[in-house]
Amino acid sequence: MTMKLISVTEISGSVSATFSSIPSIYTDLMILCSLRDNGAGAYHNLYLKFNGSAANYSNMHLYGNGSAADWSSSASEYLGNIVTGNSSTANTFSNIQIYVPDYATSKQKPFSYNGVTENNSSAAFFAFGSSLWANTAAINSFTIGNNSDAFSTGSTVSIYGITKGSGGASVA
Amino acid sequence: MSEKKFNLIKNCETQEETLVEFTAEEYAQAEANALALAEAESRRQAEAEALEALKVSARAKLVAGQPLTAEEAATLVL
Repeated sequence: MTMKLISVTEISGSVSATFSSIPSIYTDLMILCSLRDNGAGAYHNLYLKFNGSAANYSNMHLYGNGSAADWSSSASEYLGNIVTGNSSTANTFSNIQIYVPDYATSKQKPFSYNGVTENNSSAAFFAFGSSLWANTAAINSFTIGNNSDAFSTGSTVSIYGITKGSGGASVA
Repeated sequence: MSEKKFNLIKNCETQEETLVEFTAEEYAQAEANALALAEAESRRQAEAEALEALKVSARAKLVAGQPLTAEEAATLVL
């Protein structure tokens, strides 16, 4: 298995970021985000749209804050309150990983994600999710955003292409 | 005047980045989405607080040997 960095982007100043022309040569995609926005509040919701589409998503996720844990299901492009907001401790960011297997195939696209905000108080949020984008188009772009508030300086998105190994042998 | 909103477009092939201001339609959609999310979050918090209140009451009644309401009993995991 190999892991290749496709791009690293600081998205500060934008309310959303679209990553286009994603190469189709890999097996899976892994997206790592370190995010904070300028909006009031400890955390905000993050959406993820593949190929610009806000339709045909279903999510099941476990989430919690400093005092309770719960689960929910939804049929939307929103992943949960996993963007650290500007009321959180200064200079803290959320950690988010999104994994999309077989992103370039003509199958429907299941994906998983986990995210946790950072805050030196009880108002922090985490979410683990299992999702499906019920669309058979190969993914060549995705957009993340929060609708309202610009991402803060230092907010970054890294995209990796994962290539499967073969026959159990290590692949350089 | 409201702050301008931008979408950053990154071409992963060329690594070129462009900052594009939202269209009027995107501004309207973002506002509608933000409102809907805020309402959903308020509902979620209210439901979580109501559930916690029921649990607290159920625990207190169990300890005191008092009968629970059906709603309080439903919070118990058996």
